[in-house]
Amino acid sequence: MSKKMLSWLLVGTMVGLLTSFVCPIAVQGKTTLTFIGQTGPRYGFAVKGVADAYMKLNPDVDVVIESYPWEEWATKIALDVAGGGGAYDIIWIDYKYIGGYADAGYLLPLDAYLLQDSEFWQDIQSDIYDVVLGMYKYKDQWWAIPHDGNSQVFYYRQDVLDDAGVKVPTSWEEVFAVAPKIHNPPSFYAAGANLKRFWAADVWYAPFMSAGGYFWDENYVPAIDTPAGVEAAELLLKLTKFCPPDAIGWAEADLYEAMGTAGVVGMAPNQWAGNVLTNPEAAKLANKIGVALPPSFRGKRVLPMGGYGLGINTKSYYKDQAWDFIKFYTGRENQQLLVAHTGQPARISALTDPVNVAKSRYFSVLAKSLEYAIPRPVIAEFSLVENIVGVELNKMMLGEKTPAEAVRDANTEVYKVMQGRIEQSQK
Amino acid sequence: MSGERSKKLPWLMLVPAIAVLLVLGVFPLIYSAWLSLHSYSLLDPSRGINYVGGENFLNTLTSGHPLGISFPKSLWLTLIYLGGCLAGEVGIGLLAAMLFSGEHRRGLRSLRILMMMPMLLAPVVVGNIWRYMYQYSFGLLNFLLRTVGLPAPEWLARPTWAMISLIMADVWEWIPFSFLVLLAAILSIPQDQWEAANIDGAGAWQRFRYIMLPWTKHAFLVIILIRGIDLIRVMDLPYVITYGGPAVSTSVLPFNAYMLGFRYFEIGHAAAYAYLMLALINVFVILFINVLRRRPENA
Amino acid sequence: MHKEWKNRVIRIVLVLSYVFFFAVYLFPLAWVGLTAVKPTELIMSSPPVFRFQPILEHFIRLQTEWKFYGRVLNSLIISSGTTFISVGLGIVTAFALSRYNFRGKTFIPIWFLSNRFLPAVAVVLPLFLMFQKFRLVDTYIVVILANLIPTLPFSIWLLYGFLNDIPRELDDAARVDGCGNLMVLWKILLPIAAPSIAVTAIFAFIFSWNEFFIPLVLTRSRVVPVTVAFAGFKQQFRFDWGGMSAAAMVCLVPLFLMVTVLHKHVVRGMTLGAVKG
Repeated sequence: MSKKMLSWLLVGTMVGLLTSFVCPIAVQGKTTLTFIGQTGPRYGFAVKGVADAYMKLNPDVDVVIESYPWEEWATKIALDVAGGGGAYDIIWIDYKYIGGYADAGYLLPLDAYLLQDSEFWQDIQSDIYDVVLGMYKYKDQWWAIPHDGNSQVFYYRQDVLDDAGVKVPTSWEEVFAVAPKIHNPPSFYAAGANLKRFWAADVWYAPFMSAGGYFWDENYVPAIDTPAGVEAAELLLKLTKFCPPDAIGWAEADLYEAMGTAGVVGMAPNQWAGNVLTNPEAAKLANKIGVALPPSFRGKRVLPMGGYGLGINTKSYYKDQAWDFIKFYTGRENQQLLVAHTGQPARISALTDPVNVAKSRYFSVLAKSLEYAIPRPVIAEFSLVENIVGVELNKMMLGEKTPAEAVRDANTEVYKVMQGRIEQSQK
Repeated sequence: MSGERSKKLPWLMLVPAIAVLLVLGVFPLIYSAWLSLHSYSLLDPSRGINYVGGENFLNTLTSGHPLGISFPKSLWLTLIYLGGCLAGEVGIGLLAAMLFSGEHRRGLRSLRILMMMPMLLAPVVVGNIWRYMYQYSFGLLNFLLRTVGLPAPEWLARPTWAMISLIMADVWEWIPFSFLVLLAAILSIPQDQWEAANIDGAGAWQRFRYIMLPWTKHAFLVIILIRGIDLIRVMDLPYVITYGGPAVSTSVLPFNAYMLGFRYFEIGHAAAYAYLMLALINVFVILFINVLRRRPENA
Repeated sequence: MHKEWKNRVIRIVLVLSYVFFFAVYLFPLAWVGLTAVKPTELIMSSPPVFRFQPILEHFIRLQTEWKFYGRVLNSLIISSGTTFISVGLGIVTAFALSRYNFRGKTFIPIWFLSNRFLPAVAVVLPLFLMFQKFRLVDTYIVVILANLIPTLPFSIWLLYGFLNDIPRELDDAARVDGCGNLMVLWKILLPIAAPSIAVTAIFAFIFSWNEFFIPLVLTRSRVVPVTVAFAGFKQQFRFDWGGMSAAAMVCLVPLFLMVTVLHKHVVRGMTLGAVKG
């Protein structure tokens, strides 16, 4: 028996060595556009829906979609940047990477194409809010076309509010007046929030900015430990009292699951997931979910926003074809298709189109919310900043720090991150 | 074996493996060493790769910026995690192995195969299964605890519970490893040893102390070495289950290295961090290899 | 009489503790199995539902939505490649280490093992850049080679221990019969060490199959293995529990088959290695 086994082993080694040298061979004679994006509803599903239609119209083009969750997607792009680029043709890019990757020569400036397709460009400019479009302008050049407008929206359980005879709060002050009436754990928690690490910072931005704060002054000297920062931190701490205890470990998906199953009544406003929560095919409670503008704070409503755009890799072999696909994807006539596949368009006309609103009823509120929106900072350091702020806020929630201490420590750390930029701007 | 040939032959046989590991292991390590002396951000690559000397190492050891947790504190968490996991794996593995080495061996084979299953699952999957079960309101564990009438802990929301949650998941996944190794060790104890103990009228404790332990000592060390290295090196479970949280209470070393390298994209800083980890692992291993080596001299 | 009764009680207690142990221990796994055939709308319900009409939809969705079965094939190719290379190289290396005297005989085995300590974070980026230079990222060969970093040192180390356990008198007897060194390895040592080789192969296969970080960095769209595909079930807005559970079950099948077939060898090999090493 052992002889036989050994011969198998030898044969196996050879087969193993042989197969390992066989590389999959790309299909010749076809244009292959590689698209890197994110997975799931609003992202990968929408891209696939539109790409299928595009390939039907252009049989000589093959759109290969690579989609990953956020973390892995960011890793993949960073690796391609480090390796010199060229792995992907069309890049689904987060606004906050525009600056760094434009400077690195990874993204292709789109100005030449915009000049050439002026009709399309005028249509885009007239149909998308300036704040949304502006996120993709850097050093006076355009780097991506937004296909996704993204501002905060407030989701809540309409049925629970109705039962308690309460109206939807429109300010944070009202939220805290209403919350005790609804809060009845373990069946109902008045609030829910995704508070894990940088997500906590994400909840903190809106009250911080509404109270008049901003991350830094014009020389990038951090201004997080201002009274506005402390107030927003205190607000967050107060809010966590009405959240299920494990919200501190939640990312978005946990929050939506909790909204569906764990009796979370009001969701701390965030910029995601209407397409899941209000979609009866995706969420059981979809018909009971109400949508409203996020609460104001101290009489003001400032909503920090982000978003995604489609850009082209400088090293792509098929730049023109990639541009053609981007035009198709963001074109006015294809927005219904996008929405039918759970997409979330940036165009105002698409957000207010009755057909689309019937499919995703949060669109009308989103369109209104975009009027209050200001973009979050687009510099490369920002993703570090939000991680730092999030961790310090988490420490505060655990009771290790007071709000003032947390905000002060975050400020000290952020200063270290911004040091290079501060020196540069003071020169 | 004639002299000349026998001197060259072993090296001929060693060369392929050495070459493979030099290319795959040592070259990247040298490159990392070079990177660790530079600052290089993949978020803002146009700033380039700038020489900063020992700043990355100094920064890691003194400030904990930008992770929010200092290296010594993270090391302490790692040691707790390591100790908890090893104790659980070895303890339960030993119990199970003793249970299964008893006289009652019918169906042992299929049971053993079943027993191996958690180890066959990818850590990413194991992490997600447990994360789901730990949810405070709708998680399975708390549902069961409430049904029985026990208080439901806030698994992932309190620093201590979060660490316990991590340890439980890891122990669950790796019990099969210690179980199999220990079972084999126990089954290989010669029958006459037990018979001699019977004749001497040894009690249960004495059997354990004077037969079981000496014969399984080596197996224990193997388990501790293999699992210990992986626990310091691999970040899959903390990454999936707690993401280092709440706050930084489960930010063990490998998770921090990952955060630096692939979340903050501070490649140089991450390389320095990984180097410090590597130094620690080496200390751990040298200690253990020495213990392993000592055994034949005593025996 | 009294003693027999006592024995019976002990036996019953033992059986009960087996059952209890397994019920508790394998419960999470059973739960995953159950989730894999549960209709999506029941998966997140609280309290959990245990009675329902089982469905196979998730297994079908794996292909239509995720092209998952192709990933399984990728994983099989990658893991087999890694296993064969690391066991093949491992045998030769371990033989040289255990049967010859040369300078550095104490240092080299430890050096081999030390390659297993490398934190993935430190090595993957340089590896990626190196392979990118040769345009080799996203090919089988690269992932197979890179997976050798954790598996090859482990294989060498295990096999070294196993071969050391085989008494040298056997070699000498063969040499008297006129065998050369390699013939000794081929004719005497390998047949004896067959079970240990099986153990090594199983562990190499499992380690390679479950490797996440290395293939995440070194693949793009073509040779993606299952572990990387798993990441996709965790989407930003929802977790595809049904898909993930079904995928976990699918991934268990090849490993389970392998373990079942080689099980006898595993236990024998374990006995050899663990005790004397």
